[in-house]
Amino acid sequence: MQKSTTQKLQKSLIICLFSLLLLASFILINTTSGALFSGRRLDLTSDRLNTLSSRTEEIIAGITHPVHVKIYLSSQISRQNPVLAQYAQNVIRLLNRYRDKSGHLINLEILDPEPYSGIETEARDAGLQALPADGNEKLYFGAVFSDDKGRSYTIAQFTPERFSYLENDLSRAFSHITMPERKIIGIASDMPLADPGFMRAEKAKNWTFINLLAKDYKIVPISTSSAEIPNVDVLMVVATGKLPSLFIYAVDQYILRGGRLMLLVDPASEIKRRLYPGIPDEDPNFDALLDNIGLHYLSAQVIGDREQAAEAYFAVSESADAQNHSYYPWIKINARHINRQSPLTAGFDNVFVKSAGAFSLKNGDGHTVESLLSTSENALATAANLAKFGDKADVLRYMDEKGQAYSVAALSEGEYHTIFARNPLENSAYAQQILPFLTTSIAPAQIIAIADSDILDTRNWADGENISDFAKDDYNLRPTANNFDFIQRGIDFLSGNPGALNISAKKYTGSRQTIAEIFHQQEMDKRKEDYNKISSRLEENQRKLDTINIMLESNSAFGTAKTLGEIDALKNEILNEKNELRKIEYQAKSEVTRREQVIALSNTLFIPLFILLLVATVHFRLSARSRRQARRIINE
Amino acid sequence: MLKQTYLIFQKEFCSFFRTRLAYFILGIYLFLSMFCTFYLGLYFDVVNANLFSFFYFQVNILMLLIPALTMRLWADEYKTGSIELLLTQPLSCTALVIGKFLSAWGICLLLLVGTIPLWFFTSRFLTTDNLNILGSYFGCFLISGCMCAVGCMVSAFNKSPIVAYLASVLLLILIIVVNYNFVFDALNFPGSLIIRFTQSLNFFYHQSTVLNGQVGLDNIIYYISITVFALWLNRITIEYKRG
Amino acid sequence: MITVKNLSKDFGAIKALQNINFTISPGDIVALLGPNGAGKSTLMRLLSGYLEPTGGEIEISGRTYASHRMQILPEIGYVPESAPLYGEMTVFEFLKFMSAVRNLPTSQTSTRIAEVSEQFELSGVLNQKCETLSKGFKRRVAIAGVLTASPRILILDEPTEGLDPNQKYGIRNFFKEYARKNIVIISTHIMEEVTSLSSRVLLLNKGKLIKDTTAAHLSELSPDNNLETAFRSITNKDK
Repeated sequence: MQKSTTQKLQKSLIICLFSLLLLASFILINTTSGALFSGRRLDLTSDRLNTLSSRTEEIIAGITHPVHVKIYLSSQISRQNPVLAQYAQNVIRLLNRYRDKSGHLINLEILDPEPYSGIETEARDAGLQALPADGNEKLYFGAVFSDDKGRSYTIAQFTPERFSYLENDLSRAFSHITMPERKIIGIASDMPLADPGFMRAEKAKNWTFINLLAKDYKIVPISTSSAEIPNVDVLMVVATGKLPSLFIYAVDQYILRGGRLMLLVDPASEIKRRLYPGIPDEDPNFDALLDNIGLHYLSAQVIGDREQAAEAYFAVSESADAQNHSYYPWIKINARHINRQSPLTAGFDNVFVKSAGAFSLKNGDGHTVESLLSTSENALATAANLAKFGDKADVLRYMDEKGQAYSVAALSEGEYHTIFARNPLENSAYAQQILPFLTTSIAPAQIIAIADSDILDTRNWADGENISDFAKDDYNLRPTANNFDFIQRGIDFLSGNPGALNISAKKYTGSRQTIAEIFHQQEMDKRKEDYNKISSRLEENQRKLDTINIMLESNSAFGTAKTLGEIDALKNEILNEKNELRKIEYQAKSEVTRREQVIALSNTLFIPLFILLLVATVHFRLSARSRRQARRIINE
Repeated sequence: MLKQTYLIFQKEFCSFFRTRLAYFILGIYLFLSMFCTFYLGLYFDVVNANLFSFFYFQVNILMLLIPALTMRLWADEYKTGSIELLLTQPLSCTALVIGKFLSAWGICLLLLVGTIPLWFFTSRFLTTDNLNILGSYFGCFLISGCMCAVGCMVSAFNKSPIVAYLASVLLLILIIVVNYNFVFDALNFPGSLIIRFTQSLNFFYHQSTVLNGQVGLDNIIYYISITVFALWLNRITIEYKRG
Repeated sequence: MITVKNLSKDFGAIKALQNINFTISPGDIVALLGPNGAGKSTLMRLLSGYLEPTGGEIEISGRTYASHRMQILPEIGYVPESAPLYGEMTVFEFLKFMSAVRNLPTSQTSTRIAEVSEQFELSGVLNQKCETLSKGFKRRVAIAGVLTASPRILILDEPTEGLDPNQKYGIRNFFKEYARKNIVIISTHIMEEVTSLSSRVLLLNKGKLIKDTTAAHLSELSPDNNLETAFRSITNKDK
């Protein structure tokens, strides 16, 4: 018996040892395969969402010292906001890819900023933006990138709307950490664009590009009354009207000193008329300057394009109902007319301009000009004043065939002469205080000229349900056109900051829309007719009200009883129209909810039933066959 | 050996249907999957080009249902004594273990195939990322294989199917939830290289990559190694019980 | 031919069998006789290859389980005491499964199933689920199952339990017939069965083989020439 017990013990011991050995080999195999293969994975997403672009890989290769990434992610998000929780997984997975690629120089740390905790304070202090949540809680999902040298960069909030720009945003953050210092962008305009006070204004939602640029650059406003451009890395001039000639002199001299300029001129700025109706509307006086850099500016003309026209909602005549028509001056420049060779525009799908001007290009002595965006071969044009003051039907009626293509944006590089025959400040005392007058370039300059200011308007290149929140949260944008990408790449290029050079947005062939959004769109499409009618009426009434208000303000007179009555009536109508719009939206929404309920219920019940039935049928037929076989045996 | 495995596979696979267990599991699985997709997974409100709402809950649902599938595979044989009949037939132990495992895995395949209508359905509403979805299905299939192997192994230890079920669920939870990084976190061990090593032992790490359109050799090796390990233990248990 | 040498089996501290030696040749019907717990079932399990011995060895046609398990098993047909079936299968499905497992060629399956069904009067229940069968039917189905591939050695644990007298009679006749060319080993404690069936009796008590003889010889050991008296006296004496 002793022998057999020993035998059994021996057997157990061998099994235990063998199991331990197997466990050890399990660990060994997996850690080794993890180390060997975790960096090499098949990316099965049709849009290679998990693959980093070569530009990003360059940026990662540029990381030479440890970068710490603190991801603040409230654990409550998974309960309260599944969409964001889903997105958080994406973000973390992508950051893991960065880490794997960086040879683990990137350290990731995920922190849960619980309410009233030290981590929450830390997150808030770092500039993270809280998300609205149930009760008094605040939810966070952002990241702080920092290194040992004290440089840091904050992504205040990750939002799913930026999905296709995620890699772009992350790479930008990393490149920022590895970048020496922020470059300075000076912005000058006849509109109050970069004034410190304007950011608080409601209008800021149209100028989101400034907030976005400010993430990477230091933005300083430059007065158009200055005679000399202060020391900036890039000068951005947005000229929709006449600018003081002294300022033009300043820009001229800035170019000759080898300046980097982004110049936006506009014969008919729609955004200016909408936002700042008080600013006088004169033709821009940049013609000579543009001519000098090799761009002949089609002065006082607005360009149109049949082939690339966008739709606008208007009535073609007084008797006709308003509906959607191709409106030629609104041009959605498509990939065919975007310069694919230039790093400034490569990979873009479309750029949206409205009532733009046009350039024809001519290479000059010492400089080269290259078109970046252009119209089709058969451009149209009409007088700028008609586009400004006439109605849309008239504009269409009076568009002339030009029979040629025009450039809407161009890059000019090289050396130039001054446009001034002599120093306009020659005899003033002021001349002593500024840099001496130059007649020719002392260093090559780079200029990107764009014949439209509406290209900047957020509404023309991004959308989203919460468009009114853009000023608060510019990160929420879902771009619909490459307008901002174009501006950003332009600025990156001019500032000599290739480290931050734009990584183009991931194109997503799979739908990034939720089914609820698609349903909502379908329902709204059904009600489009009514909705557009009411909203154009609303717009019309709003314009009337604005006009009366401006009149009252500018005359600084008291309104007569009649005008006051008119204002009241208009206000009432506006209120009614707003209510009607809300009603339509509500109808659409409840229809969507109903559809969703039906689909959810029917799928939850019918898919299982259907499959069970299918399987039962197969099973029944098979067992019937077996029964038949048995019966045959019995009968035989 | 192949023929023997097939015979056992066939016997067990059919017996899932004969005992109506397959219908029961299939019904519950499909109902739970659809319920979770539509009501908990916010099918309409999240981006579902890769059927995120569906795959998000799969591991949890499978974790609860697969043990119910495997619980009686061995436990019942011991309980009814039919194990004596089975082990005295000219069948190798390996064939028995693999055949039984494959039958459960086959049912898992059927479960997953049963959800394909949802894929078609979704593709009517939006452009689905089909390769990604296919990859996620593949991931689910591998994961379910692991779970089947673990379930079979636990079943072989027990005479009572209920105990086998509970023990399998418990063990699966342990495997899925444990994050081995804690060892080094606890030691306050610096160095991300260590994390790279330990993360490859974490079930969640592999699950999150495989179910999101990233499939690597390391994922496949991980799942296969768990499966092989569990099946080997299963075989040892059967042999050991024979004295 | 079965040769058992120094066979012993322990379950932990319990010695179920000790030092068993015997040989069985084709044509033998061997009855394993013994009180409850004598080790009959354990010996059968060892012979069928279900259990592994703690010591000694079993040779079947000159081969041992340790080295030739897969070659030996097709020769063995073993029906345990509980006659386990797969309840969810119909009788036909069970017989088909058994014939497939026992490597019966597919072409012969139907004929063979027809034969055994007739033999054991199963035709009426072929399409019935095993779990719905009566005890007697279950036992017959279990025996029919192992017989589909005509094993050379048939090992049956209490094969007539639960059968009615007619069935018992029929099945005993079948065993006699079958044992002409093959080996049949049964375990029982019904003396009448031993007398009517077996050519040889192996009497076990407390894990030991105490008698290896014929039924007639065993009866002679008692004054009244009765097998049951002989059995009682031998097993009681041992106490």
